[in-house]
Amino acid sequence: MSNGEIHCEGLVKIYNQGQPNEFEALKGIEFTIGEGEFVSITGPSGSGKSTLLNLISCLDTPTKGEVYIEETAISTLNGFERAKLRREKLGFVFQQFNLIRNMTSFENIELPIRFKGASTGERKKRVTELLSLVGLEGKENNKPTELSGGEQQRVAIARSLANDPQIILGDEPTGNLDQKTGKTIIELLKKLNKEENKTLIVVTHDPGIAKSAQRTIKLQDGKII
Amino acid sequence: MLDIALKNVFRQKVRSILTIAGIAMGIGLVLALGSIGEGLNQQMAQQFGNVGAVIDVRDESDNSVGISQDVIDELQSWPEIESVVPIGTYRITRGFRGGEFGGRMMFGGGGPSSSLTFTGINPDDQDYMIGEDINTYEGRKLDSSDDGSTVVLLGHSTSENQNLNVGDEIEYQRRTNQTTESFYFSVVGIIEETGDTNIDSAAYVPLKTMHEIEDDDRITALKVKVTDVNIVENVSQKINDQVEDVRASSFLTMVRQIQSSLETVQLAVYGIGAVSIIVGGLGIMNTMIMSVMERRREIGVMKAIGATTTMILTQVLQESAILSLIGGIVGLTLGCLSMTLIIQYTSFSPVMTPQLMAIGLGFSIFLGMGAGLYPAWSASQLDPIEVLRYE
Repeated sequence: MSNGEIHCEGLVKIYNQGQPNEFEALKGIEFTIGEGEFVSITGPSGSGKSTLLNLISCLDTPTKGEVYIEETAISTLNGFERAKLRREKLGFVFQQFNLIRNMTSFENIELPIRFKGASTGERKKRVTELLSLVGLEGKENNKPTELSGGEQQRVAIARSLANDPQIILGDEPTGNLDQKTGKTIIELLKKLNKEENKTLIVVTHDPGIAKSAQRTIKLQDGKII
Repeated sequence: MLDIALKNVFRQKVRSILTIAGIAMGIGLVLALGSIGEGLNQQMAQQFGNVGAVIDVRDESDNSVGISQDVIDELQSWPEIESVVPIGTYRITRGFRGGEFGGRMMFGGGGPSSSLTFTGINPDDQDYMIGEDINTYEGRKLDSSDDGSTVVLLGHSTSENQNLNVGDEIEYQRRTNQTTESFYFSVVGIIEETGDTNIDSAAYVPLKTMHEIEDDDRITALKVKVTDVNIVENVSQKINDQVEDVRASSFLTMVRQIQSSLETVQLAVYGIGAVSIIVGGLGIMNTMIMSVMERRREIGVMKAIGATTTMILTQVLQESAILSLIGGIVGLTLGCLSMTLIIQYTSFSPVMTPQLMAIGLGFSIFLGMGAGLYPAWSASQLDPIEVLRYE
C-alpha cells in the first residue's frame, strides 16, 4: 500500500443542483498525486480550486466521482471515519493560520493529538519535537496574538504534522504573509516534502510557489487545463 | 478535554459569572425554601410524633355519667386495639401551696397560670402515656404504691408556669352541695421537656386516688392504642359507629390535615423555585449560544483538523455543565448561608438534609446539560467549509 497517494476520479461538483442558480464548480477532474510529490493547484478565482481542496480534505462530498486517499474511497466513510482520516492522514495549513486564540502554541499543536486520545506524556514529547522542527523552541507558551504572522504559520504547520500524516494540504499558506516570510514558510514545507517524503498539495495564486512545485495542476472553469 | 472546556468558560469572565449568579440564585432559593419546608416537617414530627397510633375517646353520655367498664372491655376485645388506658380529668379550682415558702399561693383572676387540670391515670399506664424513654429531670415518676396517695407528677411547662418544684403542694378542692374539702397533692417529680404540649402541660395523679377523693369511679376519657398507625382513622371511625355515648378522635387526623396543607404550600414554594431555576437555565442557554456563535470559526477549524461531531458536542455540553455545576455549588453555599441567617435571626430552624443538597446539585447539572443541548448540537452541526470561508 502506498502512503500519501491521492487519486481523483471523474470529480464533478454541482452546487444548488436542480435550482435556478445551479452551478457546476468542477466538471470532471481526474488526477493522481503520488507519494512524496509536491503539487501546486493554481487557477483564477472561481476556477474550482477551493472546491477541489474541500473534496480532497474530506470536508465536502462530490456530486459524481470519487476521491481516494491512500486507496480509501472517501465516499464509503461515515462522519466519524472522515474526522479520523482528517486528523491522522491529512495535515492542514490555512491562509488565515486558523489557530485557536486562547490557546498557547503548545496547546494548538497538541490539539489533533488530543483528538486522537494520546496520553499527556506522548503529547508533550511530540509537541516538543515539532516545535524544534519548525524552529519555535521557547515560544510554546505564547498565544497566537503574541506571535508574528510567520511564527503563527509555523505553529499551524507544526499542528498539521501533529499526528504525522503523510499528506499536507496548504490553502494559500503564504497569502497572509510578506514575501520574505512567505518564502521561509515555503522552504519549511519543501523541507518536509524532501526530508520526510510528505505529499504536499498547495493551492496558490503565488507563481513563485507554483514554480518551486514539481508539478502544477491548472484549473479553469472547473476543468484541468 | 475538560481543561479546554474550563478555559472556554472563563474566556468571557463577566458573562460567565453573571450566568453562574443566575443559576446560583435559583438553586440557593430552592435549597433555602426546601430547608425551611424540611424544618417545618421536622418541627411537626417532633410535636406530633408521639401521638402516633393513639385515639382519644371522650365521654359524651347524657349527664356525663362517664365511660362504662363495658365499653372498656369491649374495646379491649377488638383485635386491632392494643391497649385501652382509662383517664379521669379533674379541674382544679384552688391554688397551690409552695413548700419552700410555707405559705399558700393562691391564684385565680385572669392570669395564664390560673387553671390546671389533673389527669388521673393508673401509674402502670404512665409509661405508655408519657413514653417509656421520657424520664423526670427532678424527682420520680409515679409508681403503683402511689395508688391512693395524694401525689402529682408535673409536665415541664406546668412546673415552669406555676413555679412549682418537687415537694410543693397543689390544693385540690372537692365540692359537694354543702361542703368544700381540700386535699393537698405533693409534687413528686417533674418530667423533662418533650415538645409534646399534651405532656408538657399535664399534671398526672393516680386515678385511684381521685376515685377515692371524689367517691366516684367515673372514667371521663380513654386513650386507645391501635396496633398499626395506618388504621387509626378506621378504628376511630369504627368506635364512633359502634360504641354509644363516646366520641373518638385522633390527633393524627388533624396532623395529617396539617401535613397535607403543608405539602400544598411546599409544592407551591418548589414551583416558585423551579421557575427561578428555569430562568437560570435560560441564562445558561443564552450564554452558551452566544459563546458558540463567537467561536464558530474555531469550531470549524477543530472539525477541519479532525474533531468529531461528538467531540464538539461533548465539549460544549461540558462547558454548560461546568457553568451550572459552579452555579449549583455557589447556590448550595447561598442556601446554607441563608439558613444560618434564618437560624440566627428567627426562632425557626430550617433543616438542610443531604438529600436536599444532592437534589440541588443534581438539578443544577441536569439543568446545565439540558440548557447546553441545543447550543452543543448547533455547534456540532457547523459546516467547517461554511465557517472557514465566511467567518
